[in-house]
Amino acid sequence: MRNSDDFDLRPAHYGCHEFREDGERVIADRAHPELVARYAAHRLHCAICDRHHQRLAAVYRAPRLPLGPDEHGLVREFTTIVARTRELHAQRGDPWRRRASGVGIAALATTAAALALTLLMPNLGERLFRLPVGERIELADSPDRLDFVGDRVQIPERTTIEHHAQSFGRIVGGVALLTDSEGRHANSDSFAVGTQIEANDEAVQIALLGRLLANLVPGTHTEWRVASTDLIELGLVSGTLAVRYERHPEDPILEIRMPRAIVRVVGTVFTVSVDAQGWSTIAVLRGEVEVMHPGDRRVLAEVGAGELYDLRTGSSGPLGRPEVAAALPVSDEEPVMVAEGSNRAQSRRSSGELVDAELAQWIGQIPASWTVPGLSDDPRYRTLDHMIDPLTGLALASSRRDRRRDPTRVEAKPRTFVFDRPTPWPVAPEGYDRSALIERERKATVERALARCQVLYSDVDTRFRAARCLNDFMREHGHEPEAAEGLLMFGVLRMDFAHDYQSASRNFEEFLRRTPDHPQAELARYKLILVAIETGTIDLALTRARAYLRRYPDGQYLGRILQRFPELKDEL
Amino acid sequence: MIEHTELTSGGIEEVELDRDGQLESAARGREQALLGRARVGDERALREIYQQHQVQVRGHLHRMLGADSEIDDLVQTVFSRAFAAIDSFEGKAAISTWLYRIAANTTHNLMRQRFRRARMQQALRWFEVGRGADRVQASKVGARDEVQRILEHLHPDLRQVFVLYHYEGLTLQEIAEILERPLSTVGDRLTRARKRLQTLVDEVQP
Repeated sequence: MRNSDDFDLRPAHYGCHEFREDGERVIADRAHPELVARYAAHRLHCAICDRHHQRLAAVYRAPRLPLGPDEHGLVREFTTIVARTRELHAQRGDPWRRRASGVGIAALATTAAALALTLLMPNLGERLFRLPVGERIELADSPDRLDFVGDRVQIPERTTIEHHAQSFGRIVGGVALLTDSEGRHANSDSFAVGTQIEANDEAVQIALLGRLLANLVPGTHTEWRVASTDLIELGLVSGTLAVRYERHPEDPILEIRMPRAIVRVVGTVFTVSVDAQGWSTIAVLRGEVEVMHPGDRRVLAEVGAGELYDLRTGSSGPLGRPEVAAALPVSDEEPVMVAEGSNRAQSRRSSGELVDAELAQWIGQIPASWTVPGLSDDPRYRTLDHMIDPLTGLALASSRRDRRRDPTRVEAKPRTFVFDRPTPWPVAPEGYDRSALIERERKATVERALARCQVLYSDVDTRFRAARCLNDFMREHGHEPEAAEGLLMFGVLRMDFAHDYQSASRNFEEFLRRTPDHPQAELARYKLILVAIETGTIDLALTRARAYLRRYPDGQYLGRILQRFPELKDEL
Repeated sequence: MIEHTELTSGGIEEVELDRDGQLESAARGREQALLGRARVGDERALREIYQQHQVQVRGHLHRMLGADSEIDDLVQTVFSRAFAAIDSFEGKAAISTWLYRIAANTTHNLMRQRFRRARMQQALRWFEVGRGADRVQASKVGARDEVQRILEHLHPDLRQVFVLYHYEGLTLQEIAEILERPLSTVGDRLTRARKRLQTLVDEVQP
């Protein structure tokens, strides 16, 4: 008696039909040896069945796969996938799109009517298509439309160091201890190559050659070593340095030399740290950097966006909150406004107070171009609070208790100040000048609004956020005489953080036109000289410097100007 | 002694099973963490998923459709659909299973179109035989992949199961999960696919 699992005893006749029935079992190696023998015997004398077997075996054999795309092809393919994913999101996330197409004709008719009105009424056209607030404010009080000298200022295609005046760096935020190459302490905000820069109790921001902005977190010691048309070299002795370098193709390469490594940068945003033993960590937020051995300059690692490279272990991982927090002060992108954040930021408590932390959430966004692991693309969640901690796997925003404990948290300082408290319409006592009272209230309102931006501006950790605040201030109060100081601050931010020298120049000039005798007018004139130097317009810089010397023969920026233009000493 | 050996052997198996279970649960944990990051829009996590599974998806599409100029485009379609729907993926199944499911849905319509076209060509071919057109055709098709032509004549539902079982090496249970069909249906389709191939091997002319 045979077991049912055993070979099924076939009749003595084993023809083509039986052969075809058993084909799959033999090919899949599931047939009894005796069956395999009969199968093979049939194949020998039947050419048609042999051909059938070969074709069936070929079908059951998995096809050989062709080579896939190379590494570059994979990167390109992934980029396309992400773009297509966003398109899909946009299609799904916009339920009104289909409805909008239904009312397209109505919208078209409305637009046509508006255009017709625009043609008939020139003033309407001007109102509809006027410049954005930031561009408009300079012209607000200049009915005769005077020319701006600053319009001559164009950002050059490549960084040049053709004139001695261009080889200086500047402190743009915070107070640093500067030590020159001969060991003397310098009391200035300008420094030359060879200067050591130390940030002690507060962060310090420095600008080099017009396109490089660096943030030194407290306790950082760095040195500016080389400045040439091919290379900018910084030495990082200790601490953490975050750098944004908007490099044009022909600009110098940036290298940061550390005790045990060199970081070579083509153009990116990144953070480097050195610990007490000289070991480094390198975190990249945008672009890519090369880490090289300081001796033979062989490449140790290539660090891409979103990665943190630890030199001690030679390993990479996702970057974290401290690196992003260090780099935030050098961010340049305008925050993306969202309804939720906007409402929150503009909401006032019954007392008329606005907590700065709420404002910080609104304007403290991590730029969209930075790759931060675990961070959403949604602008509402692109803040330090929403970064996932690699250790706990939680976002800081999920725990208020943790938020208070986190030492890396810098953007939400618990500062509360009175903001633009809504005041009732002034009721003038009998016999009192009502118009004077209204004027006093108006002035106070503008000054309070400006003070709010000044709070952000005055703190080195929050200065980069003041641009948004100032933009709103200018939209609201830009025409008021008391708003002129906002122009000066706006210009400084545009120059130092956005590297938009032309707009900065227009802001300074408009500030001087409105308030030529303002206490800060001297600073504005000095800034205009710096703008011309950093854009390589040396003849304009010299003209402005001479005008400054004539106006302020004992000015507070005299030494800094003569440091850059020693040839002007004879003209004093 | 024998009992002792058996016990020892059983003990080793249990330890290995435990270890396998631990490894599997660790892998699942890692996959869940990766999914968690991907759901909040972390591009690095998406890239990691792509890098881990692009060979699987590309290979599967190639096995289903043969050498095809549209495969790269289909790979992009599969991943973009997956990433766009990652919020709704609960993570109960493995990412690979989920991607197989999306690939199956993505290719199904295309395979049906091609299947209908293949049947039409077959019918035309029989019609043209009498006019001697088959000789011209034979020289053209000689260079084509014979196996792929045979598979093109297999109904898409049967081909899916056949490819997943014989080429991808998945179990019937896994295929049932991917296709979201009962196990019995999958088993039935596999049997029908095998039988149909027996006849197609002879029917489809080289």
